[in-house]
Amino acid sequence: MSQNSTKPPKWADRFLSWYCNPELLEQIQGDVHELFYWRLEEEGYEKAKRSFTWDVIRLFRWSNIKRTTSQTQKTNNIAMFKNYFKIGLRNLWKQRMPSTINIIGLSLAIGCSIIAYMYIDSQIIRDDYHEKSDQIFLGTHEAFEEGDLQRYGYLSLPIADQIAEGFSGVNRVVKYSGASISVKIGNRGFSEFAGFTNSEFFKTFSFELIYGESNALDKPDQIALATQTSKRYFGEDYPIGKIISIKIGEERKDFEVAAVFKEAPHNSSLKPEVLLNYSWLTKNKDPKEINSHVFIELDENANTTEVIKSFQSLVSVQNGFNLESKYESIGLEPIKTMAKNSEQINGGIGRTPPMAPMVLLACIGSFMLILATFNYINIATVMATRRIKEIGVRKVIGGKRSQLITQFLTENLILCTFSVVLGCLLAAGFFMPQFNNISGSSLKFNIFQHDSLWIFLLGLLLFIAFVSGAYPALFVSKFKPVKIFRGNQNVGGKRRFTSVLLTFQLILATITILGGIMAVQANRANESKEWGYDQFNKIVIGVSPTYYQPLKQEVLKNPNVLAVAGSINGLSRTWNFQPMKIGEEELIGQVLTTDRDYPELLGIPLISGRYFDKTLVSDLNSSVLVNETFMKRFLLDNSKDHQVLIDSTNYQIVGVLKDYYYSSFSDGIEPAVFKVASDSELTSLTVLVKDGTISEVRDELEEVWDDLGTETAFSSFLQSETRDGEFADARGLRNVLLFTATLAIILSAMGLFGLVSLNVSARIKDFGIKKILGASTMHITKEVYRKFVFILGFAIVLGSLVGTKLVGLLLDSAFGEHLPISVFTLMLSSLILLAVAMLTINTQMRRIKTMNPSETLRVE
Amino acid sequence: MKGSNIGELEELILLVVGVLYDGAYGVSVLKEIKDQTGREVNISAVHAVLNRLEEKGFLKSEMGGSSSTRGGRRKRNYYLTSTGRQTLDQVRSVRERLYSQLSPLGSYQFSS
Repeated sequence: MSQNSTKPPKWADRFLSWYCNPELLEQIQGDVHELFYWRLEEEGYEKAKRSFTWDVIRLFRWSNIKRTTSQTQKTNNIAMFKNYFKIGLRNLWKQRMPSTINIIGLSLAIGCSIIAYMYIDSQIIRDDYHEKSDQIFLGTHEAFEEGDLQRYGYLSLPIADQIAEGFSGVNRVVKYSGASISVKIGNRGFSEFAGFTNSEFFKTFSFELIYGESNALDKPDQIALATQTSKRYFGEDYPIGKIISIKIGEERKDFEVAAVFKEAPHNSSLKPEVLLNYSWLTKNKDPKEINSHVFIELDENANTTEVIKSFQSLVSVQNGFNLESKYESIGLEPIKTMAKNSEQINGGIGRTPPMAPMVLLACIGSFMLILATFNYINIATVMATRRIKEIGVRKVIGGKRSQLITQFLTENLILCTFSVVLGCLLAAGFFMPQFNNISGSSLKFNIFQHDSLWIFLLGLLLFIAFVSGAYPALFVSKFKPVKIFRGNQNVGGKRRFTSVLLTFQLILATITILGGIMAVQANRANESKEWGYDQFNKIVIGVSPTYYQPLKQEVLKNPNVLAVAGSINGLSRTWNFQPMKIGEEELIGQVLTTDRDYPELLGIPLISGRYFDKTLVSDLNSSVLVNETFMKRFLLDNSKDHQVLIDSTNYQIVGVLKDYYYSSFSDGIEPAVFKVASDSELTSLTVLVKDGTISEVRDELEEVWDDLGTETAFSSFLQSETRDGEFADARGLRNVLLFTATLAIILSAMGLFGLVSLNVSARIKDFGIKKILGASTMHITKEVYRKFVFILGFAIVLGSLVGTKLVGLLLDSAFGEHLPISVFTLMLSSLILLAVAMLTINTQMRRIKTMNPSETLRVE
Repeated sequence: MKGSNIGELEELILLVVGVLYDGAYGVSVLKEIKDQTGREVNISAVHAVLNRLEEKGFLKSEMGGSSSTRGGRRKRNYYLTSTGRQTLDQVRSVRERLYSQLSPLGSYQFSS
């Protein structure tokens, strides 16, 4: 038996030494070892080993593990923390400039990430504001659609009524459907999208009633309005009891306002503005044929699976109606997840939030945080090296390294707390209104009602405090006191880590500058780009077919009107895509139904063939104009005649139009066909007016409209406004990117400034001696620059490379086709960064230039 | 001071410490118990009881000498205090008083 094998098992012994209270370790370990050797003789090696292990495990108990700390040490600790705080605050005050840089940088970044967080939060967490949101479900059913089992977010009315009548666990049932109505108050008209529901609505959902009673919708001739809508209708007047006239379908009726409720919060999927009694939808109709969204409120402790199971008996009821829609099963979707899952639920309520803006904002938030944190790490490290004597003294009188680290982290926490508070103020006072303005969202910074925001802020605080504080704390606590006092601790050093962080910051700054410049360029190009037709000087008026002719006659009397044309669906915001066929080839294309003058009036250039001819009757039913893309996709030759089959009618292609953009540039160009509708079907009138008279004519036309005596309100838009939404989005994106770039430049400039100034301060004696010996300012400047030139150059090259890729991707998704990123752009972004960097460094060079060398050398 | 009632194992170990007089520490107590009663007690239990008895004031302890089998580690020696001795006496007298009151052997019916 070798020497080694007669010893107790090593791991058990080590385990014991690890867990055991050092004060007890000696006697305990001695005892178990003695026992081991005794057993070794008595019972043999194997048994002794096993018993030893067993003993060690049995000894693993609290009384042996706990470390005894005496009372005096505890009080001392508290005193120590008080001391840390005091020293931390004094230090902040003593080194004002770098502290300010740190705090401002961090708070800007925190402000940004708060906005990003709140936006993402409001997009992801939806419909949770209802008090009973855990009990509210959307009724769904599954059915086969062309062989596929699909889920639908609605139920037929009889099923909804049966659920309301007799199912255990079901508390209330709310039917909810939307429909367009037109409202008339005095001689003003409004088009609204109204919600039709029953009076349970206010009991189930948490919409706060401002005026009126929650049973407002019990009577069919009463309605409820949202506050903003009520203001729109009546101004500041008390709205309850007012009578308004509403046209539902073809019927017009008077309603009494019985309740006014507060608008739904921004993360609500239900955003009703006008609520009417459900009976108006079912009038003169077979309820079996009507589908409705059905919200089911369950009892507080109802078992959802049980309830769903009991609903399955209704499947046979539905299928017994002899309708085409047969259900496979009935289910429930929690109201909180219905928006998130809206892609799986056909015809449900709510929509899945778009990913792109969230990703962009998350990126910006984290970019800023990275920039600010790196600033902090760099500056804090350099700042701490100035306190090297303090560290030395602390260590000599017995401060442990862990205590020093705690001290630095505490100081760090103070600074970060300042920054978080300041960041919140910035976010609430400045970023939030700006962001709402740009993005058109309505975020509200209400820290007291937003629980998850608290958690986020706390997490952010701890995260930043730790991440930014860890390296400086570790770095400075490592110094050896002997070396510090002997004076040869190399505190300056090369500090490769600092350079790496600075490089990374500058790379991020380059990327964001590039993004900002590109967004400006792309936006400018986008807005000045030709639409492919003449969108200016055209007013489009919506009109019912009966009034089309009278309106046209009146409009033509206006001296500023040059020409008019009619359409059913022209170039506006809604599009009609249909399959079209030539021979065996089939494509989906856009069908525009207009009168004969429309294509020519819109100024879409003709490439070959002719426009529609007014004198030819055949053009009405059998001729179409197509665009270039149509010809290209079908591989047709311009010179020959072709026929196209749309909706089982054959049309002759009489002309080819030049391609134009029907919607945003990123949507590209689709095959398009213009066909002619007879004058009695037209629903909108496009009016071409003389240059510069457009708003004047629009007002005049509104007067003409009022004289016409139609039932509906005057609704018109300018052709050039049809894509305003898209341009506003692009401008918003541009502003966000510009803002990001500015912030990134400021942050990295501040970081650079801090580093350079600390660098200069550290070598101020060096520079003083050099000046005395006759070094020129140029010479000293060069020396300072040398340190940063390589970093700057490297960052610009790498940043440009990465930025080109990233920004390209972003612009692709935002603008569709865009200008390639040119050398000029790259140069411009590099120049901006260089200029900022040089400015920053030069402010410090001024300090050297104007300093009196004798003063810096006189100290001591 | 905690109550002066002691358990069975506590009493046993207190007695053994008294018996060993000068050389009572974890392992010797464990061995003595095994030799005298045949009972196998785990070392962790011995330590726990020794600590408890010391807390109650029945034992006092100090760090003693080392031996080679312990790898040069010192042991903690335990001594019986006067309170400990008193308690043992008390327990014994209670027990004897009760024992003397037992009826003579054989008068019990062991079967029903």
